[in-house]
Amino acid sequence: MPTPFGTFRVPNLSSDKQDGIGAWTDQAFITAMREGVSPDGRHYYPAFPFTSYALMNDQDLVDLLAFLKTLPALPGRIADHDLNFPFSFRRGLGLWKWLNLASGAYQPQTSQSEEWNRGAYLVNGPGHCAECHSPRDVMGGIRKSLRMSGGPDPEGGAGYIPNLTSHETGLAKWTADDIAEFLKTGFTPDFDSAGGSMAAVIKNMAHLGDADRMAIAIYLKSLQPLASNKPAKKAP
Amino acid sequence: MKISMKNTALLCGAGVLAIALLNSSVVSAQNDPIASRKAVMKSVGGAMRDPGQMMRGQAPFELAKVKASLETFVEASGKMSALYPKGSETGGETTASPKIWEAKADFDARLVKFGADAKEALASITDEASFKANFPKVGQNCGSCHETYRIEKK
Repeated sequence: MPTPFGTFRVPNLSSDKQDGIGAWTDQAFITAMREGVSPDGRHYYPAFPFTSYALMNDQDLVDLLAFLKTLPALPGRIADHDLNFPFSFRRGLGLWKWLNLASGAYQPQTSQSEEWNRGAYLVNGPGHCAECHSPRDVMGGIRKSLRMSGGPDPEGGAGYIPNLTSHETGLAKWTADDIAEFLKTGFTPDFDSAGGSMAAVIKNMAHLGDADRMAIAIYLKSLQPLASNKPAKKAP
Repeated sequence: MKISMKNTALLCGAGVLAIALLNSSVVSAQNDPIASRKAVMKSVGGAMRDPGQMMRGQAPFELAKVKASLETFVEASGKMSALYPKGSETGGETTASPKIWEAKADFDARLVKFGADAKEALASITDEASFKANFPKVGQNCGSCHETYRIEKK
């Protein structure tokens, strides 16, 4: 995965006991997902979005590991990341986490509906929408005041990832139904069809039940409208 | 944003026209494959509206409209391949991925599949039930091709 910080290479998640995660305990998996720490005690880089997965509850993580362990065991390790200085120093991630990682699984807000809380959990935890749909600071941390307002493509493309708040530069004109349909079929209210990484995301979102997609939509519609930080187009 | 994009497109178009006139050559659709393929894509998106709204229950089922849309898909799928010639990889705010030119045979095969799925649907869709059962397969071609071959707008 090419990024402004260098190239991240994605490790083996199959159930291979040597090269994959077949031998991992539930606790090791929970620590990896929520704290970004490997079973041998190294920090993971936040290209693996543990800042979002930190919100996931124990049961979902245990279920997820159980599912991953049903995948075929495929041997093979990939090369390490190839990062630019100073990001190549893994120990610096301790400081990064102190700045950017909030710990503790998602706590429902009692003032909000069950549906809204379900949406908030899916969007901010397992869905990790903000990881692409937010601008980042020079150290790669999400700029909290502009969270979900879109951002430059974190995978190194030239494009700008859309604003998901209900601002006119975002989803103001989309109804909750529009969002839920989009997550199911990939078609926008104008019947344009999503491309790139979002098309891959929709393939996964299409596996959710209608209620979960609607919960996501209800939550997104409740976000405070924020103007997109997208740079103005240069005259040709 | 749409208006400013159109203006930009018009400006680009005007620039191309001016240069072409200086060269005393004739401007035709073939000379601007990016604009042409955008127009064809727009026709596909436009034709997706009626059946899309019917799928969502936002409009009543009308067989004639569904068939008209499917005919548009068949026509567009046949035109598309020629509109991505070498040399049209960039410019005109294209959201075509460079991967198209790295894997043109796969890209073309997907267009053929889109056309074939639309033709099959023309034959199999006769009423609302067969529409609801068979139309989604046609629409899934959009996303599966865009996943690999379309990039985010700047």
